[in-house]
Amino acid sequence: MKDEHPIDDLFARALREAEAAPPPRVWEGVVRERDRTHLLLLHLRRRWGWLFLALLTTGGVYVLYTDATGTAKVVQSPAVSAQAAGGAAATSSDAPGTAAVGTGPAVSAPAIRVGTEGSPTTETMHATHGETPVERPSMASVREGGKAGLRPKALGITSRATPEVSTTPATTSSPIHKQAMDHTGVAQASFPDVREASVPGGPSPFGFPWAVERLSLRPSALANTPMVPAPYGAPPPVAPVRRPAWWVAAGIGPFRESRQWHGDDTGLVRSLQGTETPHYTTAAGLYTGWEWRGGWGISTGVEYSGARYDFRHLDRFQDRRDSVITHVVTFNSSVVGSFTDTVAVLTEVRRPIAAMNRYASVYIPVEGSWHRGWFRWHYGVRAGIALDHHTMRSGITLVNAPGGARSVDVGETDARTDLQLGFSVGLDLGYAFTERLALWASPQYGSGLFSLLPTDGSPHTITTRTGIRFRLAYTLRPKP
Amino acid sequence: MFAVCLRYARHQAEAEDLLQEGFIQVFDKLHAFRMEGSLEGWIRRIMVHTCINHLRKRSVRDEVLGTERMPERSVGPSAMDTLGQADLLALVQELPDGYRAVFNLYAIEGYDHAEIAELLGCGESTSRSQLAKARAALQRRLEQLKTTNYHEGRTSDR
Repeated sequence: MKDEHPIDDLFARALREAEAAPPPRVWEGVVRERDRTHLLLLHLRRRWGWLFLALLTTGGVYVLYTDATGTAKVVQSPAVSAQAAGGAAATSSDAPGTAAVGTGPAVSAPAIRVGTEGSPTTETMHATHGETPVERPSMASVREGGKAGLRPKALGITSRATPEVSTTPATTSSPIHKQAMDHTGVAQASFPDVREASVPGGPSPFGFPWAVERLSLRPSALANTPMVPAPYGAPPPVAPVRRPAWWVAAGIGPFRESRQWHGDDTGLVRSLQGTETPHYTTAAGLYTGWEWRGGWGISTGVEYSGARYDFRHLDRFQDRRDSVITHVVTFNSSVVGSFTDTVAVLTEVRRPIAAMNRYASVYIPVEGSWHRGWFRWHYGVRAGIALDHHTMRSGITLVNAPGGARSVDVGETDARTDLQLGFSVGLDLGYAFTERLALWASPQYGSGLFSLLPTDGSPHTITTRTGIRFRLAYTLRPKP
Repeated sequence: MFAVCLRYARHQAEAEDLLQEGFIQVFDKLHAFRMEGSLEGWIRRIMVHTCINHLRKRSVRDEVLGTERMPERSVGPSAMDTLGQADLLALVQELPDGYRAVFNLYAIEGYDHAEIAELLGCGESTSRSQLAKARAALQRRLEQLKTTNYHEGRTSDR
């Protein structure tokens, strides 16, 4: 119960229904805050955001890590490195013909004519501080120079002439800045060897091949090889096409198997039907396959699984026991005669039997498949035929008995193995961790069609299996 | 709603911030409003909770005002005659954060001590003691204002 107080009443009456108008900036702030991105992040965080971000971050780190350590790195040609290190003229003898021109306040830097000899399109510019006039070619002359094989000799710059060029350190803030700034023949002259090698059959398609090279990611194995740009006017690059390849895989997965009994002895088949309740089974196997360019493929493999079934049956049969009774007729201790009777005692037997049946199965599928890719994901379908050889390792089965069926140990029978031909269909969903390694999940259904062993009408089973197969596949394709 | 925020805030700028934060919460949770009951009451509850959360973030609920327990005295209607809403609001805002929160929740919003304890994350006894101290502080301030008004009146009569 609330205790009342005059102070409470005083303030409640005055302030409970009090109203005050907020300044307009509050509403502006509400609108502004509503539009901010962090509200979206807040919303995501409250739901599945953290999980999503964690997955995204993991994937991003993984991709970056693989890119950084595995297949790509930023390439710098020796000339680029030299210039990046010193910002000065790279006059290394390792790169004959290489000539870099400082763009700083070159006090003694002479004017350098860059371009084809006698090019009428040469224009003059001043160096960074405007003290040393440096002539640079126009865009047209650059392209013309490229077509003409813009060699250092043609430019009038040779390795011998290099000392004559000022080697004053560049005053620009960074080599990258310098490269971005010098869209001139001067900077272009710094990489004549690269350009020559990179344009085997014609001019540079971009006019500035060094920029392409500086920004390109290339496999580390190709770091020291020249880049070959696409021909001018070539179509844009497309996603890598699938190449024909062998693959091998190891797989494991749970499935559930059921057995349908067939045979001429309908009574025994009916008794056998429903006696076994399957457990989930794990199958493990090795697979290999070949996949063509269009996504079509064929595969085979071998799977081994050990299946277990709960066996339950109520035996109902007549147990007949024959007894021989001999009658002897005697008179004065002498045998007058004798006769023998056979007495058959029929007993109605009812006994519940419970046991665990164990099967070993070797499954050999031969399947065709069709896959499509979406980024790192792959999906598709598969279908084929399969051989299923299964052996009953231990357990109980039924045999005919007078008046019904009787449970016997499977060791007392000779019908322990079977070989059947069946089919299988399934879906494939895969994720490629790398170019070669992928994990596949394949829910599938398979069923036997007929037994390949002669049954002579005796009871035999046709099995049906439903499950999922996880495959870790490795593509043997060499890296392109 | 701005008046609600003013009661929980120490000054107007803080009340504006609380109002803005509260309305962002309102828009954010609008889908959760089940169209049952009063929308105004729902928004008011969000505002109160926003204010309380703001106070809890500042960890001021343990702040202690060094006022001893004062005997309860009746406050006559003369106080209402001489003090307006703004004056009473200023008195509430003068209270320390912990006292102000408890007093607002109990006296004006109508919460009981169990609910206040749950909202503020403190014990019921703490809520009771802070309410008593808030009442005492307000009563003392009212007495001071009354005395001041009296003296001012005497001076003006001369």
